Amino acid sequence: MTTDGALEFPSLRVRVDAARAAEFARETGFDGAFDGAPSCYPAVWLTTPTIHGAIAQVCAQADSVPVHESQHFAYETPLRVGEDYDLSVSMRREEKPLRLVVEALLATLSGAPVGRFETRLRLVPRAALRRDAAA
Amino acid sequence: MSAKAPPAVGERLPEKEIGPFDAEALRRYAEVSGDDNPLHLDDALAASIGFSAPPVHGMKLLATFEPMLRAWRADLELVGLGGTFVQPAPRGEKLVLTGRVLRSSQESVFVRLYAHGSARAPAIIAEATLRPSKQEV
Repeated sequence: MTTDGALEFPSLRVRVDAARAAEFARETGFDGAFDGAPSCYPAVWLTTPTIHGAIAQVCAQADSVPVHESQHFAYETPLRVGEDYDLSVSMRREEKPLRLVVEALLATLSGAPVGRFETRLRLVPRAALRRDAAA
Repeated sequence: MSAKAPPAVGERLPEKEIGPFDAEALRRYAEVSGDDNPLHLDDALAASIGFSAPPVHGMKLLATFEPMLRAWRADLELVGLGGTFVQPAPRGEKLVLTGRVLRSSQESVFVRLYAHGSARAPAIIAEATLRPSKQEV
C-alpha cells in the first residue's frame, strides 16, 4: 500500500465457474431451476489470496477486525456463466473512521465494461471490541 | 408480445421469509464464497466480542434479494444491487425481506429493500435497479 493508502492489484483473469455459480445460487436462495450467474457472484473473486491477503495485512497492521459495512454491484451487461473476464481491483484506506474501500472493474477480454463493484470494510480496533464485550 | 407495464411507484414486493440459517449453512456459504472470516463460524470468537451467536454473512443475505426480485418480476433484469449492513443478523434467526418501488419508468425501476430480523433496526438496507430484460421471458 502506498503512503496515500492506495493499492492497485495486477489485473486478474476470472471466470464464472458453472459449478461454483450453481452452488453460490443454492446457498443464496435461488431455486434449482436457476442456471445463470447470481449478481453477487463476483464476491467470490474478492476472496482470492492476493486480495484477501492484502486485506488481512492491513487489518493486522491496524490490529483491527474487518466488518463488512456495505457492498454494491452495478452491471452494464449481464454476467455469463462460463465466461472469462478481466478484473481490475484497487484498494484504499480511509481514516476517521478507519476503513478499507475495495473497488473492482470487470471487463470482457476485449476490454468492454461489464460491471463495477465496491466493498467497504470498517476496520474495528480489537481493543475496542474487547472493551465493548467486557462492558 | 407486448412488454409488461412497469410497476407502480409505491408497489410493495411480496414479503419473503428466509432462514433461520444454522452453522452448517454458514459453513457451506463460507466454503463456496471463500469468505472464511471466523467471526461467522466460531461461536467462541463471536461470544468474545459480544455476539449472542455468530452473525450470518452480510453478503449471503444481500444476495438473497435477487431471487426475491426475480420471483416478483422475471421480466425485469437486475442491473444494480447494493446494501448497507446495519445490524448483524445472528445465526439461528429468521429474517423477513421486504421491498417497495421508489421510482419507475419504461427504462428503469428503483426498489428499496430491507432485511429485518428480530432487532428493531433492519439488518440490511439495500437498493436494486432493474431494467426491462432484453431476453424473452
